[in-house]
Amino acid sequence: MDYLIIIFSAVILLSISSALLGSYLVVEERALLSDALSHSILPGVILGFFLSEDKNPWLICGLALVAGMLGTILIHYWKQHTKLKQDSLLAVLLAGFFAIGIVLESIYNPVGVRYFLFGQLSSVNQQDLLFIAGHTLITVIYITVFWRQLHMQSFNPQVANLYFNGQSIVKWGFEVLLIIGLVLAMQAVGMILVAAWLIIPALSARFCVDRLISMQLWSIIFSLVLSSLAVWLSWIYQGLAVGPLMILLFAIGFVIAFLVSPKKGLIKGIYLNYLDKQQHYHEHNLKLIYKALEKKSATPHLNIDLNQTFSLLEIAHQLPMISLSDLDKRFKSLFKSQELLWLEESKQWQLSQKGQQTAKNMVKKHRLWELYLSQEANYKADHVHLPADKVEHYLDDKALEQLDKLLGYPKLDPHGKLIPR
Amino acid sequence: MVNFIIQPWQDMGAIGLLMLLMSLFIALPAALLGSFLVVRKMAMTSDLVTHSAIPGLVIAFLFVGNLSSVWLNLGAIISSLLAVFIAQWLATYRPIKSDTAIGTILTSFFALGILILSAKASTVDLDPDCVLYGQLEQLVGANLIEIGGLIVARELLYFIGLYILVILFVITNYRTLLVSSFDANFAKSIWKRLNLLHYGLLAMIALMMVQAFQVVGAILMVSFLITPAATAILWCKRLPQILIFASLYSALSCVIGFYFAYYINANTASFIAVISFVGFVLSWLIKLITTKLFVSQSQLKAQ
Repeated sequence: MDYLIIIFSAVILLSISSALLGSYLVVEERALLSDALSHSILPGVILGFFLSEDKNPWLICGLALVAGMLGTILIHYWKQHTKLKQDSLLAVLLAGFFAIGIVLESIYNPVGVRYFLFGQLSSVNQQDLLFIAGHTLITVIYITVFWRQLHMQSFNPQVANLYFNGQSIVKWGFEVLLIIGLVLAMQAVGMILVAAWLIIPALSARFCVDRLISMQLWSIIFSLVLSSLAVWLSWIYQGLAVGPLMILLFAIGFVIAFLVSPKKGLIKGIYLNYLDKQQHYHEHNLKLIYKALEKKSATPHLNIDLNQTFSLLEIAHQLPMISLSDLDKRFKSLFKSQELLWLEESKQWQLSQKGQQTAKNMVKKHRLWELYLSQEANYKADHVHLPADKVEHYLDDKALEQLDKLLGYPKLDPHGKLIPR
Repeated sequence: MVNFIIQPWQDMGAIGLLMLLMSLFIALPAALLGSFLVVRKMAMTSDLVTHSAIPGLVIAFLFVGNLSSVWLNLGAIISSLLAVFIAQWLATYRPIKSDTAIGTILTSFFALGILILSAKASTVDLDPDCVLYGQLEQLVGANLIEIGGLIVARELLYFIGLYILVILFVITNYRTLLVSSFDANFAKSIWKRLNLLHYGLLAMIALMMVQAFQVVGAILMVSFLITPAATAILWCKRLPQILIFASLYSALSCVIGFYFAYYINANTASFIAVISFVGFVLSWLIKLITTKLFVSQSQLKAQ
């Protein structure tokens, strides 16, 4: 039982620190840097294992830090002196240091390194747990104390440098915590997958909320819940390895967040798109009815009475390019949205108040925009209809007022039709 | 001195030569393909392709039960290309950047592969260690066939065939590859099927992955792909020079790495990668020093 408590505590603590550190990485687009870092600290880890008798965490983390810092410095100078870009340099560093680590491993062959490469959660002992707890605690305190610097650093490094003194120290402190966090988390999920523990929960949170603090809190929640679930599942089903299972659960969580997120999710996007299309369809149909009534009217130079009742056939007669069955469908959809009323006694249709208002507005928007294009943008009269057909749906009432005022409250559109008021 | 050079061959004979040739014929096509990746700034995509081939490979293996089957290659290609496609699609969404998408897909696919592998570990021949650094030493002994009196490993023939395929691909599509690498928009305005080329390039890497995975491992493959090309860019300016330099450099790393690995008794593939990396660092340092010397000379002249 004691052993299970150690493992769960370790996973919970690691989830917290990974989520906090990973949020910054995701926001700063440094996700792959953490992947490269995790591979490049291998030589440090190997040496640490070899030099320490009993898996001394100080030695291992210390040497890993040396390797990691060396790698970071090398990338910095390589970027300055060569034409190579960040992605190639990361790949070179990753592969190079990793290879050095493997060579060291095959020479010295220290025991226990496999646990770091592939993750072996059961190898976490009480001493490790204390170290992990310490690291998480220091991470939380560090982030709280330097909250403003780190926040600004993520979004606008140049301004941060102007605003705060000693910014680079804060940055290096972050790198130190990051590297140690990677080493500690590697014990659970292995070297290749550890980057995912930092990135994926943070990315899922990024899809749900907009502010960094909310993002960090949500990534902690995702990370905690899913990693504990992974530990529990692998406890029940003995064949499943914790590390890969955890990452897979994170990935599933990400997919769900991606689809379902209320603000940016795919499903919401598709739904909003559908709503938009529906709205445009209704607006267009109301315009058609208005135009038909206008054509029918004996006095087109005066405002049309939109209260009049009409039959389907009357309107169809005025709109020869639309088939009767199509028009019927349009009428039915307007009826559903209560913009068109069916009068049972006289068997006629009538526009509702809502329908009348929308129809009037839409025609006004269309014609004002046509006038705007031909007056202010030198469009020819036969070129203005199509753009106006598109733009009319996106002009809101305020824009309409401004347009009206700009054009001087005109009476007619470029085709001589009345602009309804 | 002569003894130093000859000893590995006396010791290992044909097997040693096979080992060297296998690593050589992985390194050469990798150098070519990797040069294009580096030039297109897609170096980390190589990480994505090598890691995400694993689940396809593993799933195919579960169905076929045989390490030498063609289905494994098919599985690897499908899996890799799927991963690249998903990563590119994800990157079109605003909160996700290309980097993050690659990192997410890479780890997720790899995790899936390792999960299945570890779940079926008892019934399967694939050792997770393969993933890290391959087992060139063990592999070479198996699958020997005889051709015209010579005993060759079957994989070697596969690699040589693949190398020829890669060379043909590069030669026939050279113009398109060149232009699309350096001016993507212009290329898009001229040619229609650039996507095919793009995926073709990655598909060939994925094609190498199944066997290369057993020889050099998924992670070191990145070194074979990228490091010679990166070093070439330090020295050369034009694409043909880069391709030739990368090929020669990778061949040299193979030979030197082979010797070191023999004498120090370390893993061959990783030593080749180390030599490659050391060469890169040395090239950088040499360039740095000579530039500083050159600059200080011209500063003296100006005075």
